[in-house]
Amino acid sequence: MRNTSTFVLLSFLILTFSSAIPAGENFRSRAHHENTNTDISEDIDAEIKFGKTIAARILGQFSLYQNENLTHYVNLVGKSLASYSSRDEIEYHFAVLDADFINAYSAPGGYVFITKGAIKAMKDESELAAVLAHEIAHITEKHIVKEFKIKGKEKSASAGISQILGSSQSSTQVLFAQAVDNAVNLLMKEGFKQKDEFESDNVALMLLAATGYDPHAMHRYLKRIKKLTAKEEKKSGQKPTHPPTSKRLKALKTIAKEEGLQKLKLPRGKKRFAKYALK
Amino acid sequence: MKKLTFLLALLISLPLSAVAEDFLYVMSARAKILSSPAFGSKTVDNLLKGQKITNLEKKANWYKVKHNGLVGWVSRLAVSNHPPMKRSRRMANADSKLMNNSRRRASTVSTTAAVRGLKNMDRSRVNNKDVMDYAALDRVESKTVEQDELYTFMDSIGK
Repeated sequence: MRNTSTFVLLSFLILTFSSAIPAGENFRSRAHHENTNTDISEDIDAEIKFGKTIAARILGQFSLYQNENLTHYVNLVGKSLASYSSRDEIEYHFAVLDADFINAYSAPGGYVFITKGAIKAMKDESELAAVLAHEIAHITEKHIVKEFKIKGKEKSASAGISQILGSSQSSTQVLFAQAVDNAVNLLMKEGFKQKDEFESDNVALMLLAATGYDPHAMHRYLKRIKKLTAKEEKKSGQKPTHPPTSKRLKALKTIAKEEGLQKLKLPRGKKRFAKYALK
Repeated sequence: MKKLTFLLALLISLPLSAVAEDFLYVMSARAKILSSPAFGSKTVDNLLKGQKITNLEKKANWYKVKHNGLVGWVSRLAVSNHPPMKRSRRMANADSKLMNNSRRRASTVSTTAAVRGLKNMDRSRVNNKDVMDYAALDRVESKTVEQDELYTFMDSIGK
């Protein structure tokens, strides 16, 4: 009987500890996510509201480039990349800005803008995909959302933007406008934190490869525009919004090595891009 | 007695073993299970958003997974340990007061900007800093792509 009891106890302990520890972790993990699901939904609503306003501000500064075919093509490339991204709960929109300088912007909630000048400097579809993927990554990694602590609901005293978004009072509308000002300033003048830029490059490379585009396109494009952007910045007196290109090029090589993309050869989409190429 | 005790132990441990299985959910609209943890390797199976797959192992940015009896590797970009959310609908009517105020302000300044012919980067940066153009945003949001067309386009990438 004693032997039987020992056997039962041992069996129970072995089976329990071999399975219950990860099970406990899984449960906590699932419970955590289940509990925050409602909050997440509200957070996304807040993100879209905030992003919409930033997008409207970008469009207040730059006109849309009136080229339906090109805009549709940019949307096809962008939405293809977005289909492989980690955030399918938001709808992505892509637009071309009628500006001759080289840049691209993204606002939370799925808004991506690329300038006519940036497209002009491209040689193939994979380069267009590289720039769009970098911008999509700022959205999927929630760089602005985290920077400005955008949440749908916040119980803490430092609720920040969350209370502003839910209010209709004029004083809180002013605070909302100030937060948008700061976000637009970050996008147009200050630029993201360097670690956010490098993270976007990393995610972009993986997105390109997952979608089927040549992941080396980003390196190729940045190398080509290095001199052009330096010239533009000198002329406009604007502070660069991205880290130094030489630093990014070096980092891209490291990322490609770490992600095992060095020897990966995927199509560039030169032929199709030529139909839409800007001169 | 021994048999009974063994069965009892087995019954107690079974549910715990079942819970221990680790699952992942597909977050992206599309994802691939690949034969090895590297992009460019052979596709074992295609996955769709929301599908639940068994996590067998994690190696750097890759998960070794099992789905429909097939084993392969999926990128960390595509999966998470919690189910994905449904696609959020654009909040057309949300925050209407803010939108209306902004539209009014935008329309006045947009007209001024148009008259000035603000196409040049430097001019636009200097002159219309606070303009919000919701009419242009509406145009951006109205550009849709049919799912069939998108899938055809996606399938053509790399061919």
